[in-house]
Order: sequence, then C-alpha cells, then structure tokens
Amino acid sequence: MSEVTLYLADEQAMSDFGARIARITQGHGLIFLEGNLGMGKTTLSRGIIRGLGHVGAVKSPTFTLVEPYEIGDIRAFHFDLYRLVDPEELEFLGIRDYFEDDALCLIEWPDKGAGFLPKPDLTITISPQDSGRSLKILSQGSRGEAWCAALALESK
Amino acid sequence: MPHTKDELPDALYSAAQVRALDASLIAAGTPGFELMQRAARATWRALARQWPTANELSVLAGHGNNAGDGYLVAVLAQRAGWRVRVLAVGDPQRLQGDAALAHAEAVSEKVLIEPWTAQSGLRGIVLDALLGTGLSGDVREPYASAITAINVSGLPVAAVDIPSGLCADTGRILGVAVQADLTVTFIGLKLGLFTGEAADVVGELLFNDLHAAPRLIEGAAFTARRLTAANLPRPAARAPASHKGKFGHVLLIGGDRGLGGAILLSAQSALRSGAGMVSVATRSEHVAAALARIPEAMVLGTSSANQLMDLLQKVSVLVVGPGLGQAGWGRSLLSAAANAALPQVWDADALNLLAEERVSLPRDCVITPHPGEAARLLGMSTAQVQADRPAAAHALSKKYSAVVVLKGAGSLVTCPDGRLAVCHQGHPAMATAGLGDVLAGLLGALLAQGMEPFDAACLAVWLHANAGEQQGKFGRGLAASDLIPVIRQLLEEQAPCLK
Repeated sequence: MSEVTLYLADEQAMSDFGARIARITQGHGLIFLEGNLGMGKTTLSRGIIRGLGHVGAVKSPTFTLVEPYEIGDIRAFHFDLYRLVDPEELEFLGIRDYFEDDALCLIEWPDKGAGFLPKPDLTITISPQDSGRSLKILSQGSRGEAWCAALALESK
Repeated sequence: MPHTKDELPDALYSAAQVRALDASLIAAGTPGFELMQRAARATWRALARQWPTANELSVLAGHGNNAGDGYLVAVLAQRAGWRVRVLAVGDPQRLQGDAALAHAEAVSEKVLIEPWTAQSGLRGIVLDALLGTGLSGDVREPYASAITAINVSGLPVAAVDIPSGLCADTGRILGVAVQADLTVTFIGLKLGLFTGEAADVVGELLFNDLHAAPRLIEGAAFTARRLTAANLPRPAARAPASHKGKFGHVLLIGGDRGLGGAILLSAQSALRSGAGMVSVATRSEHVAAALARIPEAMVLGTSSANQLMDLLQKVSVLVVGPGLGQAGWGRSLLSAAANAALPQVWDADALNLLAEERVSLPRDCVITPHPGEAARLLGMSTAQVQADRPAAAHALSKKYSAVVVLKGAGSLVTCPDGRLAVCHQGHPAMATAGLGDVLAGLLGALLAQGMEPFDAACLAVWLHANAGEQQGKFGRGLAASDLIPVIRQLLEEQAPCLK
C-alpha cells in the first residue's frame, strides 16, 4: 500500500489529471472517488472517461446509479452511489457483472456500498486546498502500486 | 428503506390527503421528478428482492404519475439486465409533467415501448402502473380489459402505489381491480389499502416514505389510525391488593330458545378477559347448561324484564344481544337494558331491534354491527355499506352517538368525535358462527375494567383479530370458543396484570 498526494489548481487541471489516469490504467481497474459534494469527483470522472476517447456527454448517474460507456474495446462504468439507500441495492443492479472482465469502474461515494464492493486498485480522496484541490491517492495491490508510482513520477 | 408489514406507519390517509402531502414535499424543495425516481427505485428494489431470478418484466403503463413510476422502473430493470417491455395503455404522447419526463427517460434508455392490445402477451413479472389513487368512478375501457388481462395471466404481479381499480379512500373495487402479489406504496398509507375488498387484491404491502421529512409527515392531516401492538390502548395494571369489585360486573343478556350458545360464548369471553364478576340473564331452560359450562358466572333464568330490575342496580356494564332473538322476550329484555344508565355493548339482535326503532340506544354505548346489521341501521343495502365502510361507520357513530365497531375484513372502529381506527388483521377461517359473540363479551369485560368505550373497542378488535389470526393458522373449522384462551394470553402479553 502506498500513498501519493498532489495539488491541482483548477478544474482544467482536474480534467487533465483524469486523462492521465485514463492513459495509465488503459481502461481497466477499480477506482474509488471520495470527497464531499462539489469537490470535483464528477469532473475527474469526466476527465477519465473523455481521456479514454469518449466523445459526447458524461452525465451524472444519479438516478440509475451507474452509467455505462463503450469506447472501442474499452468498457467503463461510472457509478454514483450517493443516493443508494441500501447497499443491497447494488445486488439488484447486477453489480457483480460490472466487475467481471476487468472493465474500468469509477465509483463515487463508495462508502455507501460498503460490504458489496471489491477492493479498489486506487482510492482517490479529494479535499479543498487553497483555491484548488488536494488529491490523496492510495493504492492497493501490485497493479495499483504501479499506477500510483507512475502518477507520482509524472507529477514531479 | 422498504418496510415489512410490521413496520408500516400508523397513520392512514385519504387520496386527497396523500396528494396534499406530495405537494408539501415538493413545496419543501424536493422536485416531483426526484420523488418519482425515488418511488421507482423503491419499487425496483422490492421487485428485485421478491423475484431475484425473474429477469423479465412487463410494465403496464397508463397516463398518470403512476405510469411515470412504471417507465422509470422499466429503466432500472433494463439496466440490471432484465428483459423489459412497457405496454402503454393509451397514447404515451398524452403523458404530462413528470410522467412525460419519465417516458422520455425510458425512450432515451431504449426501453421497448409498445401500445397495449388485447393480443399483447404478458411475460415475466407484471408491473401494474395503470391507475393510481386518483380513480373515483368505475374503471373504463381499455383499462378494464388490461386489468383483466393481468389477472388472467397467472403471472406474479406487483402494483405501483395501489392496485389499479381499488379505491384509495374506501377499499372498494371499482368494477375490476388488479390482483397484486405485492404492492409498493409511497409517502402515506391509503385507508383503502386496509379495509373493504383490499385484502383480496393488495397482496404483500411495502411502504416507502420517499425520504419525506418527518416534520412534514407529523403535521399532516390523516383519516384513520392502524391498530398495531405498538399503539394499542391498554387497561391499567392491577394493584397487588386488587379485589373483584374493582374490575366491574358484566351482565350479559340474551339466549332466547334455540340461541342459548351465543350468550354463553359471550359470558365465557367476558370472564376470561378479566371482568371481575359475570352475570348472565337468559332463558330458564339454559340455566343448567350455563352453570355446567361456566360455574363462575351467576346465571339468572329470566322470563321477563321485571326480573332484571334488581340486577341492573348491581352491575356495571351490560352486553345485550347475542342470541337475544327478535321476539317478545328479547324485545322486553332489551327495553329494560335501554333504560339502564350503564355503559353497554349492543350486538346482533339488539341491533336488529334497534334498526326497527323499537328501542333507542342510550348514549355512549358501543355497537358492533356486521355489514348487514349496519345496512339495516342506516336504511341502506349491504352493498352500499361495503362500498364505503368508513363513511358507514362514521354515519352510525353520528346517528347513535355511539362507538361503532363495523365488522368484516378490515374492521373499523369509529367514535362520535370523528376518530377512526382500522384493524386489518384477521383470517378467513374467522368467517364462522359465534365470533361476534366472543367479541361482544370481550368488549364488555374491557369496559368493566375501566377503559373508555373507544379504547376498549380498539383493543377488543385487535385482540380478537390477532387471536383469530393465530387460530386461523390451523385452518378451517375454527370454533369461536378456540379464540377465548388465545385472547386471554394476548391480553396478558399486551397489558400484563402486574407491571
């Protein structure tokens, strides 16, 4: 388990960082996005999904909880669990299917699904810092460690 | 969070009151479409939990907000990988407001939407999103045919908010109604889900408040309360040094020739429900049998009302009517009771004689009509009573200044001050002779122990229904006397003798 902290000055920096995550993960893995409302979790998600090559809208999946994307051979799923009432509901979404085939799964508010989600490769926690955002990136497992290291290197 | 039956709230609302609640939620800042999404999510959770392996859903959608809920459930089911088809009864272009938004969402999610026809086959789980709580007149075509198609499909059926065709205010079937296995209802419980013919069509009932703020719910007007173990009125515990004089003396009057059993059932029920003393005034021919069966009771062989006068001075509560008959003997005894200034329970033939206006009811009594007796008392048909049971019960309370127990599925208790309580428990095995006699005796015993008439009626109805539910599990052939020991046990559980 390793940890990297970086600073992003504005929304554009957040989007650009998303594109780097897209490049490093190549559209695989499980990423938790934590942080309060308005911290930029959806902006980061949009950056990642656009970075994978998606053109068009990236809408927030508040009602359906999950929005699927098919970009060439890449499959990505964007979850927003903020309105999840009961983690059991994830079962009714057929959530296990999403984690098969190692598609990229971005999960906002993962704590709402505690107990029903596998361990993530990366957990990105966004918090305010000065006029921008501080991102703490925590990795689990060897793939996550490698991605974390690559992100840290690029940020130097 | 979905609620199981025991977790339903107590308050019951009219359709108009639920609409007002809905409007107050929207006024407090939750958009209507957000409420619709929450309703859809709650419904989808219920479907997925109930039928986890179904994988196929047929949604029948009408024109109102109920249809909007249906379109959004279709979206969620399709997202979860179910095969989904919406069968639109009527033209989706006529949908308005939030329902139109929901339809647009379903279209953008590429949910298969087809017009419903009589030839449309139904598959998988059927979701009834046809008609909501706004329905008042009888169901019209093509809805009536669509409802019939659901019912003859033999498929599992879930209803959104209320089974289509059931009246939200009265529990009456408006011509035809969807027979649901599961109903998911929102924001506030509708009275019509708990009385009348509701039990035949609602199936399992789940409730979701759509995250309504408690302060909005608490301040809202409601129509009735559900009787539950949590909100039952209870008699006081007994002091260690109690004596029989403190728990009243119930006199039960009835049992003309050929009807002796009824008054014995009432007397036994009164004794076993805690009355301090029990007297029975019945035909002399029944005295030996009564003493053999209930030696604890004082049994007076009575041939005319004169013989009752002394006894009426000594007792505290009267139960009149079981097996009373409508002949001279019964009329004579009833007129003696009617002139006694005592709390009274009038049942059975006492009510038939009351309907004939041969006597008048003293104030502050409890009457316990079944729908037929209620109809005679109100000068209408039984069907008219059943068409709006709450209105009939209120009308009786007003007419007689009495607490009324209107029996039948979804028993109602009303008070002249306008209170209404609903007991939706019970069992079809309870449709047998003598059950009413047991209830009357129980009610007399609770009055004798000092309970207010409305409270006594609520507790009696609940105990009776729950005892019936317990004994009903053993199936057909329930005997009224089977209830008596169970009532005793339930009463002790709910209101222990000693605290």
